Amino acid sequence: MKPRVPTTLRQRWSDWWEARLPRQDQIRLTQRNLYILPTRAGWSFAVVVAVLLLASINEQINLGYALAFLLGGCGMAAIYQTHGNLQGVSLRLLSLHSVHAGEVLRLPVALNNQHRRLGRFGLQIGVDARSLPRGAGASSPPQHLDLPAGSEGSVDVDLPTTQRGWLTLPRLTIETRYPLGLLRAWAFWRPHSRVLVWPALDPHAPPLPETPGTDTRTPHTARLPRDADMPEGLRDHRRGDPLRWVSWKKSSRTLATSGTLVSREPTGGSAPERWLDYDLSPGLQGLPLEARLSRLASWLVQAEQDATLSGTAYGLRLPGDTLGCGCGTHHLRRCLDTLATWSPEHRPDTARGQP
Amino acid sequence: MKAPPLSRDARDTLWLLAVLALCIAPHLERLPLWCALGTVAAMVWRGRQAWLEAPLPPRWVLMASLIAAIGLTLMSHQSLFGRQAGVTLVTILAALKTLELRARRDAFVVTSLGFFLILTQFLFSQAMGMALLMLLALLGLLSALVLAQRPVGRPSIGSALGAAARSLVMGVPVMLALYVFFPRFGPLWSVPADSGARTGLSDRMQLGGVAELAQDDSVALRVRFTQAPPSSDQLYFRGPVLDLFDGQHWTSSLPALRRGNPHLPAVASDTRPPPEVTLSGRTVRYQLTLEPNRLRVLPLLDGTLEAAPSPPLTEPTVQRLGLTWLADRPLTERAQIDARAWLGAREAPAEPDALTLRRWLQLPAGYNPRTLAWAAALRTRPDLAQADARTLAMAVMRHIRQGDFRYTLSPGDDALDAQGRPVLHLVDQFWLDRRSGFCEHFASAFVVVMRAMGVPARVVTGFQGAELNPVDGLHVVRNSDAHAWAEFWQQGLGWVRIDPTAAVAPERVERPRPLLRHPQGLPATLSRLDPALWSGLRAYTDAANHRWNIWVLQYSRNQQMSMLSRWGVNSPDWTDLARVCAGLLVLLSLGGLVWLWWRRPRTPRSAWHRPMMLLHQALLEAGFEAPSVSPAPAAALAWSRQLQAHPAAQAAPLAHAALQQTLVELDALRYAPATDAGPSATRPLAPSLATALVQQAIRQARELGRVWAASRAAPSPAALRAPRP
Repeated sequence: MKPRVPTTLRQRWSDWWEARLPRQDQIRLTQRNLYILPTRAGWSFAVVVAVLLLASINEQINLGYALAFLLGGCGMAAIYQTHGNLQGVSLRLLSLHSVHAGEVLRLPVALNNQHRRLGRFGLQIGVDARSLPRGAGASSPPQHLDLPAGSEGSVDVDLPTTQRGWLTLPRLTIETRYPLGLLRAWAFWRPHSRVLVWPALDPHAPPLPETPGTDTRTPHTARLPRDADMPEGLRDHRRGDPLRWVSWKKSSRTLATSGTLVSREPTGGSAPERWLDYDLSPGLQGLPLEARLSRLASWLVQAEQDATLSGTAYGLRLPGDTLGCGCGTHHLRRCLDTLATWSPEHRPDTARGQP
Repeated sequence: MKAPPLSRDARDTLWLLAVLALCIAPHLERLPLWCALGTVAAMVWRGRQAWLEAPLPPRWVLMASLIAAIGLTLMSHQSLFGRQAGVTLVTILAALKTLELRARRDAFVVTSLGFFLILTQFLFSQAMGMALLMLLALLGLLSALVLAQRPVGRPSIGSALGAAARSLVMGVPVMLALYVFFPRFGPLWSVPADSGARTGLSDRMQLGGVAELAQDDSVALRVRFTQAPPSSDQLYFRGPVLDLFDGQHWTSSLPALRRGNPHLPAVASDTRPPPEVTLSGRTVRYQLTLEPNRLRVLPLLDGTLEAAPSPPLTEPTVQRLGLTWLADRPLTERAQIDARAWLGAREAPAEPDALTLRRWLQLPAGYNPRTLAWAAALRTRPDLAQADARTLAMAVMRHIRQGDFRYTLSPGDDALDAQGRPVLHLVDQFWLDRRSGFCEHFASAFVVVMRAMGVPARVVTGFQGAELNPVDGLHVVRNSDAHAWAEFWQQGLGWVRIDPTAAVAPERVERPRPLLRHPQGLPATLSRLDPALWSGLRAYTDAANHRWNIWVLQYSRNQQMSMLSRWGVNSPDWTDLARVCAGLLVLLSLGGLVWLWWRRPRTPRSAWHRPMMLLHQALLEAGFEAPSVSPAPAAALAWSRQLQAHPAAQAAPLAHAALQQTLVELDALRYAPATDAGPSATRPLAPSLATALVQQAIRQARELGRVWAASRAAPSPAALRAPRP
């Protein structure tokens, strides 16, 4: 990236804009937050009209005057039409789902046109490239949509992600050039929501380490707390338990009383466990921090797949943070979230100094 | 067709091509053949490619065609600028542009070319029909722009046309304001006027080189006679008098007509007194509307002695030289003139001495020897030896009548002789060999013969005849009525008009004008089927056209100024107009803002909205945070929950409890079960109770806020530790 003065100026200008815009997940476009300027086509249209007028003056063509003025009038009307095409549209950010770094984050946006007779056409919504941090990669092309009168529509704005951790959403731009393309009306929108980006998946991750027994450092019980009155080998159904584990007979009883299903624990109380350890798992040694986290993330995803097949619960151990064994998408998400936010500064002192 | 087989892009391209074809179509007959054929071929081919979704030609083909087009334009018009060349160039450029057209990306470029094409149409015709046609074309062009702005789905052409029509309708007020008040100027720089071989008035006359005269059916002028109109053989509209002959051209010796004609030798400025005029014959008053002809000569009725712009107009300034009327500058705007003519008036130089008269005897030396010999032979005929000018003229007229002359508009190319050399003796060729031609041939041959016989004579050009439109009672003179006749000097009488063409084609002069002349194409078919219907139609359209001319096309600086002075502006000038323009534009802009405001989306609100909003704001001002999930104004119960665990509860338990109770009551009232009066959400507010409750809640909220703020100023540990939502 070439450091140039105009870039910094533009950056400062855009930062100033950022500061002006309150973050909100819902925005309604009004006179206050809509801007409008001619496009390049608009400027050349002005030149065309001027030339038409000049020619009419010179040739004394009255209908030429009429033509030039009519086009001028259309251009003027387009200011209001283009502005009105966005005015009153409201946008809402729908719920966000975490993705792995390097994947494309989809920002689902619902747009609502409350006007009962007026359609909104040629809307375009996308990530404002200027609000992305430098070197964040090319932003994906904006999404187009039309909103007929009184309708609601939704688009997924794609946002490429690069880094794990909390991602503050960049500025979105919604714009339109409808009807004639002479002017561009736009609004900036800074959504309030944040989204957690998980560490990137390691494409070269080795298979899961088959060492469930490296559980030497922390004498940690893999058993999850269980109701005391539950017979051995059974436990409450957890999200993610395979359906064939469900003890339907017992469940018919428990469903009536507590409303939950009951699962059989596969291996008679001592479920196989797999620990993924930041420091100890084989295949991690010698890797830098982010690469380790990537590999752990890949393993976690694999372990979850494995768990649905074989029922092997898995746990995650990071310096200073341990997540007990479990399975299910909820557990996986918890593990990945931990990976996403974990930073070596939070390690206990003993762990510091290791690569 | 239920499921259109065309892709969206192909459909848009075909639509744009169709619109562009509409813009070009009226030009086709005016274009050089290569250009017309090339344009049609390019667009048809492009349409075919779009239909088949086939690839477009490579770029070098386009570049080659472009260079060829420019070369051919240069060959056809010897220039790239000027009207005809410009039209040719814009047309072929638009056609070539379509060859690399992708509807969405290039829509703007092509529509801009389309705007120029529309303007060039107005160069040739500003008739109402053309205006309507071009309005359609404009609508189509704008709809193409709209389509380009809607990349999603497959918007119908109808919806795009609708949007374009809305744009146009919204543009109309601006157009009207600017059309009426935009200050009109004269041409900013002089435009080379094209001289085509068309019928029409000109300040010079060329012999030869015209194989076929195009019949230009456009209107040259319209006359309203306030009394009985003159008979058709008296309807001579006098244009420039041409009295200098160089063997090829007839030109005028009037200095006013020589200016701006650089090919001609300069003539010392004319210090002669203007010729006197003898009045005779009955007088006719009339009003004449003259189309701009870019000439200074006003073709008024022959014999007009009084003329002035029709009030309230003040332009053009006109002056009379003998019977010739001149404007102060070439006519570029339509002019309306009130005038009075004496049908028998004649020009008669004050002192007809031989020296003065000799100017009208001059013939170029070495030209037309056989005609001169023929004239000398006639002069020496015994019965004409002592004849006066009139007798000689009658003898020549008799020769024309009996000498196997033929009137034709297509005399054939006479510029080159059989050996391919330019013909020098054009009059000889006509008078003795070919004997067929149109009025210019007859008039110039007649004058040459008269001069050869020693009778002063000269050519007069103008218009002859007019056609009465029964709908509005106007006499219409078309450019195809342009005519040339002669005048000879009769001792004691002055200049006597004589029309040699009448001798061979009396119907050219004496007949009442039929409404029907030279129809082509559809009009021809129509006129054959039902001549009466056709002439009636034509009469109506002519009348409408006249109105159109008066109200739309004739509008110019004169009308602007007279309008301003009618409104009480003293000595108006263009700055006043500019001010009015600016004011109107500001007003229209404000109108646009009002329009935006008026069409903002409005949601119907219940009667509860406003008081609840007041309460909401009061709570916010008191320093409480709004319930996060509720839209503003939050429901009373939502506020109540929000304040439940608020630290203010500890700081001021009493005020807090009171507010909570009011909020709960308010909510109960708001969402009370439906009664006969309808669901509570839409039920009108019971004014006494609800307003009182809201007011009470607002008071309590302020009180609580105050107390809480005071307690924060002296913070208790409990308040500090309290979790903030």
